[in-house]
Amino acid sequence: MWNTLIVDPMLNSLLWIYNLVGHNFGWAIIVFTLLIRLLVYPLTKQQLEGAEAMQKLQQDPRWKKIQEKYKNDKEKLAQEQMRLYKELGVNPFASCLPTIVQFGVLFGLYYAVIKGLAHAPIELIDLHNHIYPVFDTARLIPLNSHFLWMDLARPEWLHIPGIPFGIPTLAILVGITSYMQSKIMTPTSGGGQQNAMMGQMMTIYMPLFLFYLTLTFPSGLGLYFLISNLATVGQYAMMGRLDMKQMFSFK
Amino acid sequence: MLSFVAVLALSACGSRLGANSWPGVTADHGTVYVAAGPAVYALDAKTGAFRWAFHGEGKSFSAYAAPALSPDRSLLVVGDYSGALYGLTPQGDVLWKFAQAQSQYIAAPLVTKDAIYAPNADGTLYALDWQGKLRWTFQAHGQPLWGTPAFDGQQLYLPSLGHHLYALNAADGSLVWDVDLGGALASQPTLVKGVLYVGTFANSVVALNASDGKVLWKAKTGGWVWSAPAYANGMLYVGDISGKFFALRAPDGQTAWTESPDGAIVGRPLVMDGQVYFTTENHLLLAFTPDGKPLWQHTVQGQLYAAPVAGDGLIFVAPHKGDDLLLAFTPDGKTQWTLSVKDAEAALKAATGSKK
Repeated sequence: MWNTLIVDPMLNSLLWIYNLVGHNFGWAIIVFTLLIRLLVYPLTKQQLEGAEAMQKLQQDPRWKKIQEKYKNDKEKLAQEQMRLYKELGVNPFASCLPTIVQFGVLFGLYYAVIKGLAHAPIELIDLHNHIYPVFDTARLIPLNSHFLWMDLARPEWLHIPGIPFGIPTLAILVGITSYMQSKIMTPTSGGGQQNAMMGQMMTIYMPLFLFYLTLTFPSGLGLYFLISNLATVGQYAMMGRLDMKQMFSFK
Repeated sequence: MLSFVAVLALSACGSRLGANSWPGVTADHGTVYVAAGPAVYALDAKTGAFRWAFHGEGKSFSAYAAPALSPDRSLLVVGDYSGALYGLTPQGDVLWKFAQAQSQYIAAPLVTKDAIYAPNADGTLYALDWQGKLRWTFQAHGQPLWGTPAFDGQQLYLPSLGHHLYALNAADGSLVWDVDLGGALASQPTLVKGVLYVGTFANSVVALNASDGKVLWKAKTGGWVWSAPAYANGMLYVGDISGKFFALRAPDGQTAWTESPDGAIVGRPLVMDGQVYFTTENHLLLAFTPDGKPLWQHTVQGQLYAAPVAGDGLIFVAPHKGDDLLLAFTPDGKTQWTLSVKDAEAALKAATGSKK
C-alpha cells in the first residue's frame, strides 16, 4: 500500500522530471524537491503559524497563571488549558497534521530517490518493478547518476589535485544549511527553560546527524537534504520570517 | 523534533551502499566456489563439505560476482563491492590485491591463459597479468560494466549497461568496433562459431557477426533479457524478466517454443546432457527437454536469480534471501545436499577464529 500510494507515484514523477531535464538525475532531484516543497508550502505556513500561536499563548499571563494555580492537578490544568485555547481561538494541533504530512513526504521522497539510484542488480530489478508501463525503460536505464563531480549513487568526496585526501563538500554543505534551518525554526523565546534547552540541542545534533548521514549514504540523498534545507530558508524568507542575524548566530 | 525522529528512522531503515545481489557460483573439478556477500566459500562439490572461506582484508568485504578460475586452476580471482580484486590460491590464500577500481565488481572477471579481464561498475575494463599488475584499461564512456566479456582468443566482446557492445583487441584494449543495441547489456555474450548472442533491456535477443558487429537478427521478447542465451545444437535458450522462457533457432532467431513458468527469469539457462535447466524469481528450478517437454521442477526457499551451474555431474543453485546458501541437485531433480546459511556462517566464524 505504502509503495502504491506514496513511493511509486513519487518515483515515477521523479523519472518523468528526469526525462524532461535531459536525463540528469541531479537536476531531477533538485526540481522534484523544489516542486514538493512548493506543494506543501501551505502546510508549512500553517505549521509555522500554529507553532507561533502556541508560542504567543505561552507568553500570555493567563496561561502562566493557570500553570501555577493547577500545577498539582493535571486534570484541572488540562481542562483550563483547553478552555483558554478555545477562548483565544488557538488550535493546539494546528501544526500536527502538516508535520505528519511532511513526515510522509520526507519518507516517500527518500525511498523514491534511493530506488531511483539503483546501483546493484537486485535494486535494478526492484526499480524495474516500480516503473510505470508508460516509460520506455530501454531508453531510461541506466539512469545517469553523474551530477557535477558526483556519482549520486555513491557517497561524495571531492578530490582536488595536490590534496592527498577527498573533501566531503556535500556533507559539509548539508551540515551548514541544516544548522541554518534549525536556527530559524527553533523558537528563541518562550516555552520555558526546558524547551529552550531542547531547541539548542536540536540546532547542534540535527546538523551533525545529517552531516553523518550524507557522508555515508548515496550523495543523491545528500543533494535532496541540501536543496530541502535551502528551500526551507527560502520559504521563511517568503513568509517574511527570516532573521538573518539569528540564522548565523552561534548562541 | 518529528523531523529528527524521521531522519533517525530513515537511517535505520535505509541502505547505504547496499551490497545487494544474488550469490555467484563457479564449479570446477570437485570444488564449488560461491561468493555470497561477506565471504567466498569453497566447498566439496560432491558432499557440500566446507573447505575454506575468504572474507577479504577489511570489514567492508562483500562479494557476489562468481569467482573466476584460471585455465590451469592455479589462480582464483575474486572481485568485491568495494572495488578490490583479489588473486587467491586454490586454498584461499591471498597472492595479491588490486585496488584501483572506483566501484563494485558486479561482473565476474575473465581469466585467460595469460591475462585477467575485470569489468567494473566504474565503467572501466581492467586488464591485468596473473600477478595482479595492470596492463591496460578501457573506458566504456563512463557507463557501468556489469557483464563479463566474451573471448575468442584474440578479441574481447564487452557488454555495457550503457547499451553498447564493444569489441576490443585483447592484447592492448584498442577498440575494434562498437555497436549501440538500444538497451542495457547486463551479462556475458554467448559466442558460437563467430556469432555473438546477447540479451538486452530493449526486450530483445540480438545476434551479431563477431568480426564486424553487424546485427544478423533481433528477436523480440516480453521484457528485459538479463542474461545471454545458452546455446546447444543450433538452439538458443533464454528467459526474460516478464517470466517468459524462449527456445529460439540460432540461424534466424525464430521461436521454436515458449514456456511461462512463475516468476522473472534472470540467470542464464544451463544445457547439460540433453536437458535444459533454468531458474525463476519465484523459487523454481525447472528442467525441460530441448524440444520443450517439462521434466521436473523443484521449489526452493528464496528467490532464484542466479543461473544454475553444472559441476561434477550436479547442478548448483544459490538462492537469494533463503535459508540455504547453496543447493546441489542431480540431473533428475533429487537433492544431493544443501548448505544452510547458518552452517556457512558458523564455518566462516570458525575459520576466522582459527586464523587469529
